[in-house]
Amino acid sequence: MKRSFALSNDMVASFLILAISLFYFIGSHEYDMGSVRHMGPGYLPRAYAIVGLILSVLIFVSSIRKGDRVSLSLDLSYVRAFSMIVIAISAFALIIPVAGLIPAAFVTVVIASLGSNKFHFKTALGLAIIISVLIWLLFSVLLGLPMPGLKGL
Amino acid sequence: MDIFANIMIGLDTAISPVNLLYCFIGVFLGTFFGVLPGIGSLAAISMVLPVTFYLEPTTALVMLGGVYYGAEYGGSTASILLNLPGTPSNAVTCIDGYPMAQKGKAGLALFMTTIASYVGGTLGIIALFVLSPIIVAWALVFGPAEYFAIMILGLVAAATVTQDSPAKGLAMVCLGLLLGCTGMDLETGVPRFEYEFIELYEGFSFITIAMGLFGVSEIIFSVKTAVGRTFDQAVTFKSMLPSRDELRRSIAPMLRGAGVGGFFGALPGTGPSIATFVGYAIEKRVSDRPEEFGKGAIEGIMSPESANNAAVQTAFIPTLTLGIPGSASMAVMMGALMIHGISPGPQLMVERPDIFWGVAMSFWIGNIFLLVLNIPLIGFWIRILKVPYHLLYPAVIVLICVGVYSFRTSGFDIAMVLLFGMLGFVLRSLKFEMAPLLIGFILGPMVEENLRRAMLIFRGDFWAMVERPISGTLLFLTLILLLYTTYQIFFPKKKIVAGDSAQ
Repeated sequence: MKRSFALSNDMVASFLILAISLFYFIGSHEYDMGSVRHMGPGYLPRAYAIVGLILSVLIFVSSIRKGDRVSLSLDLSYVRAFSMIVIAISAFALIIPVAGLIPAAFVTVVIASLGSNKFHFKTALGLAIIISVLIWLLFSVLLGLPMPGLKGL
Repeated sequence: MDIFANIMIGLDTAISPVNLLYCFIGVFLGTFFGVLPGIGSLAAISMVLPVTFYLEPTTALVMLGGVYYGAEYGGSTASILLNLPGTPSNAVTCIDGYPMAQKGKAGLALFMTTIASYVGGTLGIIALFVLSPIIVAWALVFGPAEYFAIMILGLVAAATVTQDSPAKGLAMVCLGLLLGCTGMDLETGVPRFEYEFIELYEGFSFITIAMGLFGVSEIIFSVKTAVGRTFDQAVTFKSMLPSRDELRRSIAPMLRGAGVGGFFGALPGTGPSIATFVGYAIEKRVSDRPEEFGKGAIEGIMSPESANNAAVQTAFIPTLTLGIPGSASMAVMMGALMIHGISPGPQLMVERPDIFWGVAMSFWIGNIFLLVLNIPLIGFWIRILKVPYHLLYPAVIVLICVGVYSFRTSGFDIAMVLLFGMLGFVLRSLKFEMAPLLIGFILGPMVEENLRRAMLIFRGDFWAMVERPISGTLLFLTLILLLYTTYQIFFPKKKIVAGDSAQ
């Protein structure tokens, strides 16, 4: 398709690897390098980071050589699934220490269901009730894990 | 090398009621997750993992092993009925399995792949029994130099052999190694890259990485892509049975497939997916009617399924004998063992023969379970395929959360899962593969420990390592692989899919 300077998958990938490697390369200076004979805690992280830097250059060069064959496949249609699942998991982490397993599972199922375009409110509610009770029965009652179903009431 | 004595030790452990029960639960759950498209064996193992912390190490491994090969068994069901591979290594089975189902031979295809899986799995287990003691005898004399060399070879192979972009695979290994550096330094006790979190003093929890990269990010992708397809074809017991001609045509491909699978499974870095492609390509080449392939040739499902399950079993050889996982699933297995305080390696077979042979024997029992579980229950698995994905994935999300939280009752771990889930999504969007990252993460601390020890022994002289016969050979192989890979990066071939050679 477009021949010019379009961002390709691999080009973005090489920037990402470059950033991570630089981060670790700079970070590794906090720790003692030691010598080859007696390697300190900073030796291998820095070595890996240097390998990463070299690889990012390799990926970048080959992405230019590949030219127009691969364009960036950033797909915005995943936004809904992505954001709802992220919120659902965060909600679980926030609710379970405060209110217990059943409310946490309930809220998580409802929010996670919102990620699909087949979301239907009543179905999601029903699903959430069934799953939160089953999870509680399985983990708290049957397996006896230290997770109370309801807390602080 | 008394194989029969080993079988007896193994049988003794494997048929204890507790192990039998968990083996059964394992293969059942594995088949269940395998049947569902979009949930691979890796996600299945990661989800079951937290439950196994409360079990004995042997029982835990028996169960996790069951989940793994159960998922590979079950994966063929969706391939055949819906043309959607249940796990990545069942993708080849779609090529001929789905046309068979369209011709009304769904029952036959399901029955025969079960048989092929069983035969492949059994032959793989025999290889595990015969080869492991030989490798262990050889590996007991390994020093740090040899371990370092074989790990480096494993890492490079994992990154380059199965990848279409080897540089990106190597970058993922590198990222895995870097993530593995987080936590206390083994020798000096200095905490590294812990970002002032006490929770990270022991490093990133391996469970959060596995669940995030393979569980969460995989679900985000499949919420949109898993479109509900339905299947309406009655599968009666009579429709499953092969004709004499179909049976005759199946035997040789099944055995060849097991050979191919056994070989590729035991190599570091290759694993089941590539074995199925090679198995399929071979059958197409040796067949006297290659034109039938792709239109429902029974040979085209027998060989890949047999190869898949043979590879699954022989993949345990390097993991259990050397402590080098060849694939991401094996890395998860090894992580599970290490959480139980057992480090796989040549010492395992010597010091805990009950664990080693018990687990190996349980694989075979598990395969028998699968055989009896699958044939009468085919109807049941088909019905599971009808549960729509949008009702399923919220449950899986909750299971992941509960599993991670239960590990040490920590909200921090859930935050980590979220972080790695998002990282996994970004990396997958950029067409990176996750397996090399996980293998790098698991092997990272061991690579570092062995290299540092070796350099102390050889007084910082790297050449001393190259001059030793075993480590030298392994490092030489690694170098060849790297040179070949570099050549590929700069002179990329036109894209050829491994199995489509005849197109």
